Amino acid sequence: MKRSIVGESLICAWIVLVCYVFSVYKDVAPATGLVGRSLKVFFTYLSAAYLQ
Amino acid sequence: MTHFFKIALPLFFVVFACIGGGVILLRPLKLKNLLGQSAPFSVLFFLGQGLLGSGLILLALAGLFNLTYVASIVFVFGCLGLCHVFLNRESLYSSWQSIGADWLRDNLLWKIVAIAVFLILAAGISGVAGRIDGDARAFYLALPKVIASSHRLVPLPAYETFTSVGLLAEIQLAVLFLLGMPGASARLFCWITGMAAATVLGHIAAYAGLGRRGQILSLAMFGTSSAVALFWGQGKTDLFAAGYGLCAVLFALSSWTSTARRYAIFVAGMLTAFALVAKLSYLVAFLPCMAILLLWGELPKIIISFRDSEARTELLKICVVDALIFFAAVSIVFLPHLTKNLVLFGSLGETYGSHQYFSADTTKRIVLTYPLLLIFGNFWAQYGNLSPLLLAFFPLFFLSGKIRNAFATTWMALLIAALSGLISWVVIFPAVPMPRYFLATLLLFFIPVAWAGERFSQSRKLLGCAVPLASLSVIFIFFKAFSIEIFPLKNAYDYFVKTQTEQAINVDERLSYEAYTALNNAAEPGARVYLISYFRFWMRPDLIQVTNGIHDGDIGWDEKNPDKFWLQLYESDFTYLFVDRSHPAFEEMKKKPSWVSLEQLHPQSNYGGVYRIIYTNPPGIRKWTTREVAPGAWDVVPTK
Repeated sequence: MKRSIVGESLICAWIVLVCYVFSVYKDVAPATGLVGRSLKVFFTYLSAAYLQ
Repeated sequence: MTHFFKIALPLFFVVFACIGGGVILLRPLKLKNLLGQSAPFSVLFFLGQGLLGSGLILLALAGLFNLTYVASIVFVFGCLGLCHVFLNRESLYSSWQSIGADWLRDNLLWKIVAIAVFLILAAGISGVAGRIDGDARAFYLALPKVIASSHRLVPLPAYETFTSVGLLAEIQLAVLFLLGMPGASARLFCWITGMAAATVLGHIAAYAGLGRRGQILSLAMFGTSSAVALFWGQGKTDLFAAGYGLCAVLFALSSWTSTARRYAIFVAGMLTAFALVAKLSYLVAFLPCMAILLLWGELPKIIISFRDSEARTELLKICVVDALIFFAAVSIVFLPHLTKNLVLFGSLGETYGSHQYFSADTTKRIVLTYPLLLIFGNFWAQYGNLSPLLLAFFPLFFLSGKIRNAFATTWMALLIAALSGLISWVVIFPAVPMPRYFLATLLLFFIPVAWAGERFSQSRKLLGCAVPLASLSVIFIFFKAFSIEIFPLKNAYDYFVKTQTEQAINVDERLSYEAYTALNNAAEPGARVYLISYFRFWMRPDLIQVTNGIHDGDIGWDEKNPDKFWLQLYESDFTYLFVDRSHPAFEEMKKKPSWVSLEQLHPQSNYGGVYRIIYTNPPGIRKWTTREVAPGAWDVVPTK
């Protein structure tokens, strides 16, 4: 497998992003700033079925 | 330490009895032929669960579920299981030695990941001191408690039609209650089942060619999926079906190369049927998955058959024979379950509930958000998610470069089988985004993704560290996020060691327990309690048996005629009232006629209020009463 350092960095960034999103989702990291608040909106979208 | 032994000893014997059952079901020599190694104890454990569960359902149906019979069966099977483990201890030592050696050989980061995975799985034991899930308080733990106390299997009041579901797990929990496990500690068996399922997943990973790191990643995903971990200690029984399903997958894979191929298909059929009995919804996503895995072994013949008519006929013959063997095994396993339904309901199955939980618009949104909702969704009754590691490592799978002969690999078969199962589920039940209904299918996704993660972890660059670091981070976040719900370590320590009573369990559960205990202390044997609550587990089993059920369906609050409600209660012999504010007319109910008074036995709270109903010169006559028809078994009967 030949992978460039840029490619590897992108994959690492993706992995870090998923871990961060998970920590916001579970309220372990605070949902502050534009990113945090946007994530909360996204999670609400994924649970909007509470409205039936 | 008596409390500890009351918990540990029944568990110990039942676990070994299950292994013993597995030994009976499969001759060890054959199993060695099938799996290419000495029999994994976890596989025997699940097979034995199926055998014991099926047999004990018939025993309970006959009203013979008493300590003498059950303890004798558990003792004999348990001794057999113990002997088997003792005689095969070398294989246990050698597998632990091999795991230990691999652990020592790996680098520090992976050593820490392995320990973290072990700890997160082990910490699940503390779930026994956590909150009990609502469904378990209503049915999944309440029914086993009643079976153990009444020594018979009859429909649970208010859940009469629902009792037609498969009761493989519930009957095993009933054994643990019968053997004297205190409180709700029998739910610890769900955690043991979960750990056995984790072991089987590890075996599947090994079978699919994953190395030790890949196996660790599979288990990390297993341990950080709340759709799995929530079932370790909350008393719901969904993990049992997943365990049977994973074992079925293992045998389906072994059928490709085994010298006893048809025997492997038969065992895979039995295990599939155990999974279907335990969770009928597996019919939709798991059965197609198994069909693909069983057929995959014939892939070379399938390819040849496209251009050779003789090969096509030969293939058709093989498929028909295999299908017959598979469905013969399924039919045999279904017999006790169908017998139960015929005896209890006069039909093979009852219909209950609907699977149209959401509106058309919401359903559309659910379908559009697959597969993200499986990881970050929180729909009503979804009950947990899959591990975020699945999402984190999934792109690695596509970036693994050109994979030579991918279709000849086991992980590819698992990926395609799991994908087919998922698609089948979304097509048939688009409005049911609940992983527990097809958990075994979803767990198979862990294997190919762990394979990709393992492949990248061998990189010396950034990714070599990113994979284990991400695993560690997710394990830490998961533990922190669920420290109360799944990992109440302090409560568990108090429960097992310090106070050794129900006072040590989660505060919500304890307050609920106290409300029901007030009722249990006051009510006479076989007294009728009108239960205005979904939950009943903490009630005395004699009281649960005669609470309001399907036959009391005409009792209801009538705003225009409040006296009628109280008269109906009197006529049906209800002398206690348990209210948890779930009834819409709760406040209205306080308006009562002059001939009724309520004595409060436990103050009204969110956990329930308990009242004794005192009738003074009631205007009607009592039409129903209760009678102990056999030791511990209570029925509602007409007054003479």
